[in-house]
Amino acid sequence: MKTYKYPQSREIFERALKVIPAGVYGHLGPSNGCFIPVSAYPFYAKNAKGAYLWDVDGNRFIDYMCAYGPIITGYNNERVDNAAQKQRQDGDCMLLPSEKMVELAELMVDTVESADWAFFAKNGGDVTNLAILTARAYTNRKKIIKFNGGYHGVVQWTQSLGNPGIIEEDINNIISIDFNDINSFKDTVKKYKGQIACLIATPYHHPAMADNALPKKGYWKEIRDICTNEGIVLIIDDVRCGFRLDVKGSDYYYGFKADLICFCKSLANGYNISALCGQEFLKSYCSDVFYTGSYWLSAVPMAAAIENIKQMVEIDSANIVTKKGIKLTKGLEKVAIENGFNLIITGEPSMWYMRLDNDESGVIHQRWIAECVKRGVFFTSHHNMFINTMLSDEDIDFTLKVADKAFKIIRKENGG
Amino acid sequence: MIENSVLASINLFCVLRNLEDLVDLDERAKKIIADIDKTIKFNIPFMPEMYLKIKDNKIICVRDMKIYSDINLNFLNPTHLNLMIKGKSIPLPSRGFKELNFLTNEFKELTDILGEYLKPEKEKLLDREFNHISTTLSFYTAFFSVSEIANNDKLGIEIAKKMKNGVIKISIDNGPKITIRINNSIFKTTIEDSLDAVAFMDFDSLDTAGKILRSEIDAFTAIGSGKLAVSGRIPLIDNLNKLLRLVSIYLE
Repeated sequence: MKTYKYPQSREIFERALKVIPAGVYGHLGPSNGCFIPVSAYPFYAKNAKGAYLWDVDGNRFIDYMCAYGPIITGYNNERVDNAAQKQRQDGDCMLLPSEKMVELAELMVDTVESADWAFFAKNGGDVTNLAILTARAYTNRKKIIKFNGGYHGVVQWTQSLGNPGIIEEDINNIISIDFNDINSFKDTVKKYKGQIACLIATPYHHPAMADNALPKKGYWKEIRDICTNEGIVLIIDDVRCGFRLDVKGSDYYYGFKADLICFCKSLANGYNISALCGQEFLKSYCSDVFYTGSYWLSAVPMAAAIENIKQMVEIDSANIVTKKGIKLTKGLEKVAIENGFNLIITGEPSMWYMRLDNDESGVIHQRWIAECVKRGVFFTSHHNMFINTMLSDEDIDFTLKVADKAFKIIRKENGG
Repeated sequence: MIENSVLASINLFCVLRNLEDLVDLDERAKKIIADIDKTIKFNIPFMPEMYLKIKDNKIICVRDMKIYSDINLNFLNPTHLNLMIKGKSIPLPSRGFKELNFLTNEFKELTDILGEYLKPEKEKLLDREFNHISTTLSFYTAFFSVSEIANNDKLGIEIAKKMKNGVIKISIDNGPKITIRINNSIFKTTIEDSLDAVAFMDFDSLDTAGKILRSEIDAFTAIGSGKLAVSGRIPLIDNLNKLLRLVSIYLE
């Protein structure tokens, strides 16, 4: 089993460092992306198809990050790409929106259980922010509850004090509590009675660098009831989970109804679009919010989203990725045990999080991940992974062989 | 925002603390303290006392315990000390009036040498040995200051609250090693290697460490280039970087 080298990636990176802050910034970069050690990872992609990504050095990877979530029906999905191409011939960024915008909103209202309307933007953070503005416009309240470790984007209110550029005033009205702790939520609501505009939360807790947690039985129902009784807008940030658990929305999957729900990643299988959907009573408040962007009404991503949603409904994509996720994670657990390790899997199978047990610092886990990446299986050590529908049984078998080899290497390194 | 009491802590326990290492690294400093046996006490209201014990060709910085002192230097408040460090004020001695010559001569020479290394002229950094000492002392100053800021600065305390108990090891390849221990959000920096670290920050060279400490390159670029490797519990490293950013504000 050969290990990869990345001379072209490094050469491009040297050029990048001269003209781009940090070379590659953000979550795709070696720093935020936790490329540990950086020598094990490629920096630049050449092309992608199905479940695979090829880097600029020609190395093939099974992409278990799915571009950090957007790819659900496989890279360069023909149906989605054809729909996008057809729309591109008609027009994309134009003076007026296309009919596709209405068609997509109608489709989302028909598909997403809690949606009575849809507003489109580009990134997940665009719509989580719009959700906050809408909730404040509706309630005339300032405070926002979110969960410790929850990720909702990069605008000021989502960040922590101490992050460069963030000042105290940016986060004065943000209250962070622990997920799955209903008493903490009740106490907070009581303490700030009449002041809380909204709760924003992911449908289950999937922080980076920590075990993921599914909602406790009855948790969301209690939260829903309290929000309703206290006039608090319940916002579900379904940017990461959306369509991977249920095409009707992750609130539906967990048995409750959000007031506002945010989508992005899987919506258009990699085309740049996000959506805020909501219940009827919030529609006019969303209309009132001043919010727009140069490319938010572009037609190509909307055409792609329409075709992608239709496809996800037809093939029951959530079920497919869940089954593949179960098969893969069970296999990884087994391979780990065979090599004397205990792999802890948390979260939902289609977007699982994993870490090695008895590895206090996480260094052994980081070594194992690096050995997998060097052999064509792109996992990350700090973040949940993702499954797309194009992942085959052969890909899973290959992954398990690579995982086995990587475990053997780190077992030897650790005196096993 | 710079808090004067935090800056005074940094000046005392991180900047002046470097005298311990200076006399090992610099021949001039070593000669100055040869045969000197004196202890200086720095006394600032509402701050821990610090003693500089000079004996047997060594300087030891003593904190959190009382020892005999030959010279007591009193300061009205933290600002008073900070002004003295800038050379804009003088302390109020209350013991050791006979030793004032030592303060104005040998001790001043020592602190002047320290200043040369901590605020280096660019041309001097071209000298390999000077660069080595300058970067080593700056490295110590920065990571000792991390603990002062995490323990005392308002924003530093907020960042520290998010950091779980654990040990961070910061090392320079073929160079000094620092350990920061975090226990219930209280930080303690020591110059030592550690076997129980759970987070690691490894500079590939003194040159890289120097460039990062002088803000000539950023940590993200250094990580991408493989000049700075981080591993283990990344949240500890992420927050350490936030504290280091505050260090640079204090030491500007």
